[in-house]
Amino acid sequence: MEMSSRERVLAALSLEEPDRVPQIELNIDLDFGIALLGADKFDARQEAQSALQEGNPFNLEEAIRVSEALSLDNLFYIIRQPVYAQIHQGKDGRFYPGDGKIKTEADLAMIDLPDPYRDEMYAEAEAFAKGKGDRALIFLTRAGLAPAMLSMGIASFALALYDNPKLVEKVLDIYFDWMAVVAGRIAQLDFDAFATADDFAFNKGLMFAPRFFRDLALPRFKRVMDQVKLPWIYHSDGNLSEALDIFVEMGVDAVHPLEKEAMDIRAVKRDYGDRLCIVGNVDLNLLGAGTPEEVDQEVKELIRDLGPGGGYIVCSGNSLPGYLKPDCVLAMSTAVRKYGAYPINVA
Amino acid sequence: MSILMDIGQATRDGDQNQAAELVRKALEEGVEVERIIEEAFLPAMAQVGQEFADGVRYIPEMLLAARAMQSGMEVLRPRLAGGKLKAKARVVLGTVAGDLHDIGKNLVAMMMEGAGVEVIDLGIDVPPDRFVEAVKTHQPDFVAMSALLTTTMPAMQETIEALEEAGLRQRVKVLIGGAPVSQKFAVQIGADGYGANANDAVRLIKKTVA
Repeated sequence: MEMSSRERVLAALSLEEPDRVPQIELNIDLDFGIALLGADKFDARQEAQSALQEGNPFNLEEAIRVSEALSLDNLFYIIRQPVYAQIHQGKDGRFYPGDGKIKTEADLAMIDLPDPYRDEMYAEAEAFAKGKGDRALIFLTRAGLAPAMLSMGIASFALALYDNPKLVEKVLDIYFDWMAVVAGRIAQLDFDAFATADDFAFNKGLMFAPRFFRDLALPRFKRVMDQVKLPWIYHSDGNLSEALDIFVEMGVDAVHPLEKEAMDIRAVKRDYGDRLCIVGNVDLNLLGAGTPEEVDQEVKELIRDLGPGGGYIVCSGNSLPGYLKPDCVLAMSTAVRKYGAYPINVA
Repeated sequence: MSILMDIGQATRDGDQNQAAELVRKALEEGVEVERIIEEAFLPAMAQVGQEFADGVRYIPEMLLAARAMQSGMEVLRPRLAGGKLKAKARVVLGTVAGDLHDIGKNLVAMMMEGAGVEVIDLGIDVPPDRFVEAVKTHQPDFVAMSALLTTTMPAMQETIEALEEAGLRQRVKVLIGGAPVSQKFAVQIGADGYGANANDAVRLIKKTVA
């Protein structure tokens, strides 16, 4: 029996087998939406991409239009806090953080987060929740680790773990406490999953030893996620192998994207598939520089190897930035429909 | 010699005060500057780099060790000027045009300095003509380029072409690195080498200058 998109996503997040493998994206750039559908289909919210205070790239109507075009099983809605870092714009149109500005106790006074108790902050989120239709609505944010690291600058944060751990804890508390309030408000709306994007790994491993994550981040994540009784998707690029046990302990339900350059998604499914839903990992290099035929083959093999037993969701290896080829991204969606019906029957 | 071992240990421990203090003591005891560098700092940083590559040392502990070495080197610096010590090689390093990621590049710079290589770090978002200018000004042995985005990888080839146009290509060895980069890509664009990580980069340089 055919499920709704929401049912499909929730089944996979619960480690069950839905009617077919779901397909989601946690974030899609406005530029990609324009490349896919044309500029006239959007009211061009340039301010959404400005100054790392990236808000939501689409209004509800546009979000539905993009998800429809890509046959996604979800919509996403973003609330992200400001990060206190130098800002650079890359050739790909995205904004990147440079060095952080928060180096000392005195710099803490610079941090001025929007009032999380203001109802206006949640008005659009509420509209998305009411207008989501059959799709799963996923909330995307940074819980607090990433904004703290970026605001201090990764190198300064790293040294401060030893030189000035009290400062690290203060910055973490500012961001995590803010998010605890936001999470509490979002929990009152009809969202279906909660995704936190707090990257702390690179190609070869974690940026800092697991004990720092366990001591400093884990209790703060719990403060936030105790407000939220929704499936929790943890996003981080890089090699997360050393963090997966901690994720399970923390109550993470799904891990994203298991970046191809950094992780063996099949090994993660084998070793953690009974405890974590696997979301990923169609390589952005392929979606940006490959062919639809190559994408089809990649998705086919992912579904063949990861689909059986459920607990798997197809997704890009990060998000959909503007430089990806629309025909390759569409090929991903076509392949999910071709190969993703349960029971999986792919040679 | 035990004080050299202690300096190495202080470096590995990331204790900048201890490293500087022990270097002062070593100089007072008449230990030659060259020995402090060659027998204490360089082996310590080589071990630090290997531990990082092996995944037992992380970014904070790398930075602490590099800082400890830099503190020790500051004590030595007055004795270095005009001295016998010559850097093993000179490298011009940068993240290519359009690319703004720097922590990987910064770690490579630290590891290279830890190996006795002189590094001229051009920073991030470095267009081909700035690499060319730097080669003319500094006459390095190597140009090392980093890219983290697939979209900025072509800038590596553009930089190599710019070096060719300026008649400088044969004067330098070009090394490339960064997450999306590969040996295959290095061959494709005519680079001289590819390093998968900071340790690799240092090894390539040592192999070439040996």
